[in-house]
Amino acid sequence: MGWLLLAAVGLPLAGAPVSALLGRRPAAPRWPALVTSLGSLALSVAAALTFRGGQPGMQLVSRLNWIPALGIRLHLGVDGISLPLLLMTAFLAATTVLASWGVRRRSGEYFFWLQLLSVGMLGVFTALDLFVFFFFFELALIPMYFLIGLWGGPRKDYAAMKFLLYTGLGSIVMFLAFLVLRFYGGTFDLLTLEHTRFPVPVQLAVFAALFLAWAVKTPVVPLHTWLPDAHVEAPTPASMLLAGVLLKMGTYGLLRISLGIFPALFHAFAPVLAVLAVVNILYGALLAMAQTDLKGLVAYASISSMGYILLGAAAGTGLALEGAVLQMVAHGLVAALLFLAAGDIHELAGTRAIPALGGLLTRAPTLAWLSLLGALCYLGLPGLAVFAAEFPIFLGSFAAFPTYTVLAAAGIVLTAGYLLWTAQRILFGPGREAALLPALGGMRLLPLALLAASLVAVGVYPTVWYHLIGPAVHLLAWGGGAR
Amino acid sequence: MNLAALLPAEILAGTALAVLLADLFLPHRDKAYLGLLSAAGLAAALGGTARQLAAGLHASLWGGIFLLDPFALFFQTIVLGAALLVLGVSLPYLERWGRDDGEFYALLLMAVLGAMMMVASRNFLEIYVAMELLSVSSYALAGFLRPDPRSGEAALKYYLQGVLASAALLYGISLLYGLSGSLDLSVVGARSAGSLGVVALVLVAGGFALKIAAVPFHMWAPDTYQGAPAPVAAFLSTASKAAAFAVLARVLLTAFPAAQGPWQELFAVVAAASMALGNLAALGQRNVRRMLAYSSIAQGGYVLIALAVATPTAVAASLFYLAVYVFMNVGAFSVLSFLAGPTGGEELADLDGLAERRPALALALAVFLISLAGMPLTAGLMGKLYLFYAAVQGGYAWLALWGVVFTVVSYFYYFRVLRHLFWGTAPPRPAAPAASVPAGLALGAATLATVLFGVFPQPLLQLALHSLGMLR
Amino acid sequence: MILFGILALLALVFAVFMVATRNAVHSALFLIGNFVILAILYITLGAEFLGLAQILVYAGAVMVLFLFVIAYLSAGTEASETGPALAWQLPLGIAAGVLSLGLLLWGTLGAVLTPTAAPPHFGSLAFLGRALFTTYLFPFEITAFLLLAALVGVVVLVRDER
Repeated sequence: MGWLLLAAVGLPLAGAPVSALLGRRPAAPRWPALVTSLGSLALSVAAALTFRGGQPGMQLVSRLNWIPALGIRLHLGVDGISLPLLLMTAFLAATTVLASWGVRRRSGEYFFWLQLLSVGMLGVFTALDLFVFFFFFELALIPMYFLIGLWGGPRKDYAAMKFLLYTGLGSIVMFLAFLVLRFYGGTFDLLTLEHTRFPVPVQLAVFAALFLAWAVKTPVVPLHTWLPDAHVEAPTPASMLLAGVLLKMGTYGLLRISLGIFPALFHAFAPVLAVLAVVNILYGALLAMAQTDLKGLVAYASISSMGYILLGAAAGTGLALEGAVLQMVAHGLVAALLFLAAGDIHELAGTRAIPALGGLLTRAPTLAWLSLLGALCYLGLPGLAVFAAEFPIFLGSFAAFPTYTVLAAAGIVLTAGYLLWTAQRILFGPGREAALLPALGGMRLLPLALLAASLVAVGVYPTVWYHLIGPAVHLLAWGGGAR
Repeated sequence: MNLAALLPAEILAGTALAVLLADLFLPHRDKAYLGLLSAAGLAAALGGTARQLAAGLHASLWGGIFLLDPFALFFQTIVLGAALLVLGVSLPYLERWGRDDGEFYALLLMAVLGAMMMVASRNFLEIYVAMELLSVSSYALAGFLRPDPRSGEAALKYYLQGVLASAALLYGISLLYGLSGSLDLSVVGARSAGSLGVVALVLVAGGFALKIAAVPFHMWAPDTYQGAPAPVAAFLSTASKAAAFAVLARVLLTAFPAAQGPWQELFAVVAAASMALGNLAALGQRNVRRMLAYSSIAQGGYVLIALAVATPTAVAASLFYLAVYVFMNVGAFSVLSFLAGPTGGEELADLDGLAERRPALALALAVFLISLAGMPLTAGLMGKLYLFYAAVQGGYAWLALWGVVFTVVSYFYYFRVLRHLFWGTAPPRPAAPAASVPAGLALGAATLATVLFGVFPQPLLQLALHSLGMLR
Repeated sequence: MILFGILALLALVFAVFMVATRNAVHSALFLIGNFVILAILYITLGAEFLGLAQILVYAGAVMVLFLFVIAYLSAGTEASETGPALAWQLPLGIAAGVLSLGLLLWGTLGAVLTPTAAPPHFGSLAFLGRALFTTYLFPFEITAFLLLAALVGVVVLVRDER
């Protein structure tokens, strides 16, 4: 059944040129994008249904020779860690196409890049060959550069270039690290390298280089400065994918590659990672408080939230790791929802400045309620997705790092504070913005509603996910043992 | 003696003479036929060479002066392919400038002939004469649009520095001859130990380094690439560079095997300096052609990693890189050649909004630049993968690190061009002239090859590995 | 050996004067002197044909052409003008010169020379002819193309625009 993954990744690649060629008719290119994204989603769901849960190890594996001269194979497969992320990515990709339904300006190019981005994102979470991983990782860079640059806000040139250079540096350093691994390990194959022993200096150098790559992408403070710029300037759908999926590539790489290949080194490094995680959580939350731009607020909130994933990874107990993986999914969904909401509010009110907004609840009730749901989810309301992920992180981390966990929990309070304060200001109170609000059509609310539904679904019944994630992360867990 | 092995070269020489002769008799409006005749000659020579390469020909002529081995044939194919692309683009370019004379084609063919002979030489005399043929033709080509002072300047700068390099090369050769009593590559090295041999090697390497535009012999490149006709710049930055690299590699690896000299460290420094200077200097350029010139210095630096590492993998990597580099760099210069008018038109601002005016040209340029930057789905990434891997494998990880760091630097200037192409806003300007059929074919082939070798690099990698017979 | 030293020194002196003098005609005359010395050097080294060709072709034909052009252009009276030298180039040039000299000295002084006897009749007309038309036939033919390319190049570069 290995073809399922190949097809899921390859479908958008086939659709991209079709969209580009249809560019002369502004309303046409979105259709191939919709078809391929729904197709990828269907294939991913099919993969999930075929997947036998409760088992560790890779399934649905396909191996195709690609560059035999260097022993590079198109080696794809999923386990309990990557499958949830694959599902989330495919779902978000489809939602994003819906959220982009109204794009008319140079729509051919737009949907071309959007689909190419999907290829990169889906590929990263299925690749089991380091070069293939890098290939998809880097492939996601170019479309984002164009999406920000062509359809972005006023400072798009600066933001796009900054994004490119920061993440480009990260991925090219990762590339070099992979070459070193290839040389000492004799292969690019991830599963083989996991059982390879490397000389200690090589381990240290490669681990450091890889961590730099993940740290830029995640992002870990102080390497985060590209993120607010990119988020604020990017068009809404690009922001959704950036926060929803691209950031997860960093933490996924951290777990899959750094922890997978260098477990001992990772264990030794965990305390440092925990400190970085807490810094991320608190710094992101504090800066989010100071934002007046809605998108800026969600961007800094994302930095904060990524900290919980890092904390879970650092703690290393089975429970914390499970939570970390589910937090990737949950944060992907909720961040996408909040960015979409911010984009819609911007469109309706003509501004994203928080002080200039107000009274949204009476003027656009559906949008307002869905946004509120997203905010409540974000601050960890039980029954919604983020709670289902963060709670195990805290439980699992407390055993390993009690102090840090308490500090991180303080971050939750900050998050609740700024989100509720913001919600109060923009949803309730008198309307301050000058522009009249046109009604949002059903098509506009559809992606928002889908995302909200997914938050509830994950939050109410997380057991399905833990059934998937559990066996895979317990292979990697070291601190505290069982859940 | 197997003269049939020389058929491609004979075809080329014959075509050059035929073009010169026919030029005398053709009325001016029919000059385009000369271009087609040259293209036919080049295509025939290319076909013949490719067939020899596929058949694994290994022919030694005139007592070993001339060696047609897979290594030589690989580079001959590169040079011929580059020339054919350049020719396709030259046709409309020269027509627009009103200079579609036969001399251009004849000179181009003779330059190609020189390059072809160069890479198949096993004798310093032959190397020198062939390189002079390439050089002299190139000087004239660079100055072909002489009424434009920049073209004259391009030719003059190239000529003056080229002559210096030739002198250095000749001096080096004379020292080697004095030391060894022979001009044969396989004999010279063994008898040229000692400090004087090192001096001779440095002089010889300097002579070739100028053609590669490696630091510190790069100074002519920006002015020449900017001032010369755009297709000629494309030729100089690819075919000429590849040929010089091939000779340098052959001289070093057959005459002075890696164990014999300190030249590996020398080339590590040269490669590092070329990468640094080329990439950093390109950052500040507003003129796209000049930027490409510095980029080409940097790309030369990447390729020179192979000589520092000097393992078969590394040399194979350089073969692959140079082959795909032909497509992307000829392509990039070619797109510029469509845009430039007599008044310039190659500044960054002139590219503003090209994607809306000429989507196909913008797309092609985007593919070439993304490939030069080494991004996925393009051949450039595969080239860098192979080169940097060879560096790591050969114990030159620091050089690979240096290379990747400057690769990130290069993102800035390559993607800045993309920004202008795709979302620059420009006042409406007269549409660029429509591309002609040959130019469209050349550009399409280059774009396709850049993407194709980026997705399926295996056949070319295999070929590059097979072409290393002489080094084993 | 002594003869070689004297000749080499003379050749150097002529070369330096050729560059140093500001009068084009004097320059050309010094160049002729240099060529003649070189020719004598060739002959002492056993390359009679090369020596004679040097005198006939270079000191003779080429230099006559040079003098003719100089006379034609400037009548040989005016000293050539020199532009203002760039100040920063001088130390750089000196440094490069010293560096090259150092490299050459290091190379020459440390050289391990194993003189090999020249083949019989080395440098004679017959030897040269045989070499050119057998072993080196191919480079010889390439040279023909080289000259053709140079010819075409000159025509391209100097002709007036129609």
